[in-house]
Amino acid sequence: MNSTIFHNAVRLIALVLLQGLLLRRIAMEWPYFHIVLYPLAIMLLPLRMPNTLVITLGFACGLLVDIFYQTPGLHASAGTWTAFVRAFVLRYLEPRGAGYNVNYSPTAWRMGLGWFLRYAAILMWLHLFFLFSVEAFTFVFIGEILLKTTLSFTLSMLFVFIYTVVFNPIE
Amino acid sequence: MRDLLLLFLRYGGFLLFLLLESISFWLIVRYNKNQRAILDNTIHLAIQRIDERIQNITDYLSLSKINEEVVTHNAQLLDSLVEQKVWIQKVLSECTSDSLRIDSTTFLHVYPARVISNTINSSNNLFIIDKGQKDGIRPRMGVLSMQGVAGIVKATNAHYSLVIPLINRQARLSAMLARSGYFGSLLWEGPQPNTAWLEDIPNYADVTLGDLVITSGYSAIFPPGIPVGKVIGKETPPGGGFVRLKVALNTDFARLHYVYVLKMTPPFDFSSLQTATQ
Repeated sequence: MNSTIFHNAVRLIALVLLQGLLLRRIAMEWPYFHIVLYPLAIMLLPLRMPNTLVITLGFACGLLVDIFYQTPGLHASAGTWTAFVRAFVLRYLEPRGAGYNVNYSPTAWRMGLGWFLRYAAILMWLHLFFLFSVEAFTFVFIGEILLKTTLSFTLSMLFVFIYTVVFNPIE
Repeated sequence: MRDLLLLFLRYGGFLLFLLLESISFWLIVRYNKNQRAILDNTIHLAIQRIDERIQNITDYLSLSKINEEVVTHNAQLLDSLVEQKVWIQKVLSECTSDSLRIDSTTFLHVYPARVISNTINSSNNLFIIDKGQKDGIRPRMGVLSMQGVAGIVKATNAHYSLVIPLINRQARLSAMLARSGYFGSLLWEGPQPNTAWLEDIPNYADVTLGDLVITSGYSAIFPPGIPVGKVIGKETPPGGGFVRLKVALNTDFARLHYVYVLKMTPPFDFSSLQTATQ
């Protein structure tokens, strides 16, 4: 129990720092290739965690990223959104018959790599689309939003895959 | 209370989501310049669009009023046309000599025009119509509204003309009382855009309130008999044999939309005689 909290806290802070200090600089060079990894911290929160807490953590995580990006509210809104839809994506991907073991976290180790990549891909795409929509703040540039989402999604998923293969966390 | 708690447990996630998103969006528009500008612009556009809608509706509503005016005016024109036909027939049947009547040879032409700009609240009110030199408009032509005299053309360019309305301190119009035939000059001192003064009426003249005021025809601008207004008051200035009459103008300058410009070609030009004495 305590180790789970510890794992998640360290992961969240590490991902926020990675996002804010390193990946932000890459995005500044090539705005269309924005590597976004911090949603992983929201995705990997334990299954038994209450939904309200997940949403609060999503908001907090986004707000921390915003401090680095100097865009108050932007990542916070996207983080809140991703945390909110996580429950629906989980319900949609629930294994038939067996269901979830509520003591687990939705990791590749527990659920299998194929399941996890599908889960991560759906949430990542929703996160990026929401993020870039709010960034543009209008759907007039929907073409640009979709292009940015697609390019950043591809790159971000590559890094999610690398992260999963390298660390392969249990919790 | 228990129900409320259950409600929050069930839908708490959604409520929290809404709350946190509200906070996020508030932060975004409060602290991010670009998004703030886009939001302001969007609100501005929305207000503009609503304004446009309201304007369309008011235009549409006033359209029925204008339409009504046009219909009544048409009816009046038809009436006078019939009257004139009767009159011409009478003249033709009576007239056997070859004498020339000035009235019958005065050539009169009417150009319809639309008012595109109008002021009524200054001491030198002006309005602009959408016809100019290319349409045959020249300075010193008379301008009528559907109710009566409106003004006189002051200046023209190729496509537009500037008109001095009756409600301008520079405007002078030779007018007379329809019933008794006494004439005077009509002028405006402001500020009300619906009344003017008829001056130089001798104090022995028979005037009653409600008398109609019409053009006298003592100029080459308006033919005689065009309605101007109605007498609503009488004032006796000290030391003189004349009275001033307060006239309620027929033309409503506050909603002047369509006017007619009169082109009069009198058979003989007597303006040179008028200037000869000056």
